[in-house]
Amino acid sequence: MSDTVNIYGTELSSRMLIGSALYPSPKIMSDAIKASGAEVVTLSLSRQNPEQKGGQDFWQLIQSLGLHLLPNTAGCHSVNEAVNMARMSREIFQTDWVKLELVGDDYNLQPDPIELVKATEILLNEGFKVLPYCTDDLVIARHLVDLGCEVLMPWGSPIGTGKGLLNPYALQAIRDRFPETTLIVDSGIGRPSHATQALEMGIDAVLLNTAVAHANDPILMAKAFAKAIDSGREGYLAGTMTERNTASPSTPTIDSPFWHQEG
Amino acid sequence: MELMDGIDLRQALTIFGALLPYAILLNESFLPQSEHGITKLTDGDKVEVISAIQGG
Repeated sequence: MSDTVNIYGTELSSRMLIGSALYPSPKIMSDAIKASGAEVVTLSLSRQNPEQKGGQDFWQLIQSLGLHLLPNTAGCHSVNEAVNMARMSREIFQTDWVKLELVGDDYNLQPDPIELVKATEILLNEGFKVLPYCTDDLVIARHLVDLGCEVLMPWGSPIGTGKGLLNPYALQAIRDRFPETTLIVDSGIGRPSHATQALEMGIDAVLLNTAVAHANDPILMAKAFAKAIDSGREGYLAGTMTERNTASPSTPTIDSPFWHQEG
Repeated sequence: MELMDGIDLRQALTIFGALLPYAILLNESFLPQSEHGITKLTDGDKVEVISAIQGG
């Protein structure tokens, strides 16, 4: 049986989604994305400056990768901004997918959960397939799922921090409560081991950008993450042992030479 | 940008040099492509041409 990730009915083999920002050069971006094996790449929108050829070079490079596009609404602070940006994304990129971001605090770019729920409802009603970037709050997750979200993107830690999973308990609670929802940890992953941890918990996928783009060698790091994600997923499927507080010998001691039973 | 009276949005975009693919915000609201050719601009209208950039 194939082991895939479901994004609103689209089955993906790779459990890595990858961003297109912050790379040292367009070529390194392209090579790192290819090396990652990701089937989904995120991108965004900005005002066009014809003197800079309207971002044509970037757009052509992204198209040449042949991946699913996941536009975000980065930088939006209000429902109106986010909804407008999603509508523009759909027209430009010809996709109903939107990674819905609504900033609630500029210090840590924490999503605004209240406005996020409002914008999600509007966009779902307009036929968008909303992938909301949310905190790890279980109740907000419930509101989003109740509205019809089939995918949630809770943070591991704030965007670009590389701190990993700050609250594994909260993420596990979301996993356990919504076993049918596709969970993608978005933001905060800094190292391959963070991704492994997420996948071991049963998180379905991770979205990476800074961790790859800001590595000394982004292409090698993309490969490292791909292996770490596979490893974490297989660990989850294999089922981890139960943790214990006391030692238990791993080597059978019966009939061992030099064994001295005390007492 | 100064434009002639009565110009429609599509003509304005050509003068501006907008490159496809793009989407339009007219006075901070999304205006679908189907309406570009039938929307006349008036004094003070704010047009923003939006296109793809890198994102995470």
